[in-house]
Amino acid sequence: MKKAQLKIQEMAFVLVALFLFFLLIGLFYLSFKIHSFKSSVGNLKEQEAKAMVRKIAATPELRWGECSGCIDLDKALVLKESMSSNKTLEGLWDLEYLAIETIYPAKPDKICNLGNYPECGKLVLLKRNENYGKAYTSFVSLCRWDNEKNSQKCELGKIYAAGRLLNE
Amino acid sequence: MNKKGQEEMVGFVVIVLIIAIIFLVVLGIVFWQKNGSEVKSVDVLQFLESTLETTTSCALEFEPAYSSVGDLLISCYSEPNKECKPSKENVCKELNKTLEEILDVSWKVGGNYSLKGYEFEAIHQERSGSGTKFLEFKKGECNGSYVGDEYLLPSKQTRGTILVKLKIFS
Repeated sequence: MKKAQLKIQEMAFVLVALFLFFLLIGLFYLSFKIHSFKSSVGNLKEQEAKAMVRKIAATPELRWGECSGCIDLDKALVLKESMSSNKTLEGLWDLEYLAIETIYPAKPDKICNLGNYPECGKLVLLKRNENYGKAYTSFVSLCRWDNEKNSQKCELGKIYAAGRLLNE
Repeated sequence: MNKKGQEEMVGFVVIVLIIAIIFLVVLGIVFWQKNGSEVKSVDVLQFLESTLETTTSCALEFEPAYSSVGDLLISCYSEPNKECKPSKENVCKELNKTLEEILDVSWKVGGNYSLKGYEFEAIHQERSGSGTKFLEFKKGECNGSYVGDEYLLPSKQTRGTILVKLKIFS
């Protein structure tokens, strides 16, 4: 083999090696991007589900006045009691689970009913079965009329919802 | 021949060094973008919106018209020496206390939790565009990647807006 041919062969090897190296870098970058893309799709789905949960709070059955993120807790309690006596009301939302929890100020860790309201931490509106899957949450304001202070009072809370509709 | 071999070795080392530098630069750019960027969070936005609606134990005008956290924010900037009724506590002190309690129960941060820290800011923005930061809370480690959002609260008294920002570091 001539010297010039050897040189060309050497150059070809270097080029092939460089190509393979950049191909590896490209594959590494692509897999990294696909991973971050997948996680951002997951995040978007979660954010959409949270926005839908917040929309539940804005339905006329729960809404407090003109405030879109405020739940009328008195109304919610009455609705819960009506649901237990009138089963057709359970079809109001196509959900497996719907609950409201007070975050601030701290409340006793009790499920709300007509007997202990408002000194209770959680109001379960709907629970069709124990295995309702992942519950999505959203921060809301829980407003009610405070009979002791004779004024309206809004507290910080969370609304929990689970169901097929939110997982789609 | 020996000298030529040496030259080729030097050339090879130079090529390897150039490739390594390119690789490091690409890697640096990818991770720098990931660490420094803010990811908007619906959770944080909803938290801010709901927090500002929360009723406090402070009545700015008369009892029983208890003010919301949003009202206290505006008052803390426009009339920082105002007192709450009936406690006679300073409005800014009451606001700080309430906000700290709300943030602590809503976002558990520290070594035992997945969240490292949080940073809360309230900035008054004039119509001209200039801003004055008048409230700030920090807890835990506030560095690295975070999720956050901001909420604008219009203030008639000060003829401006109050920009409330929250960043949650993980």
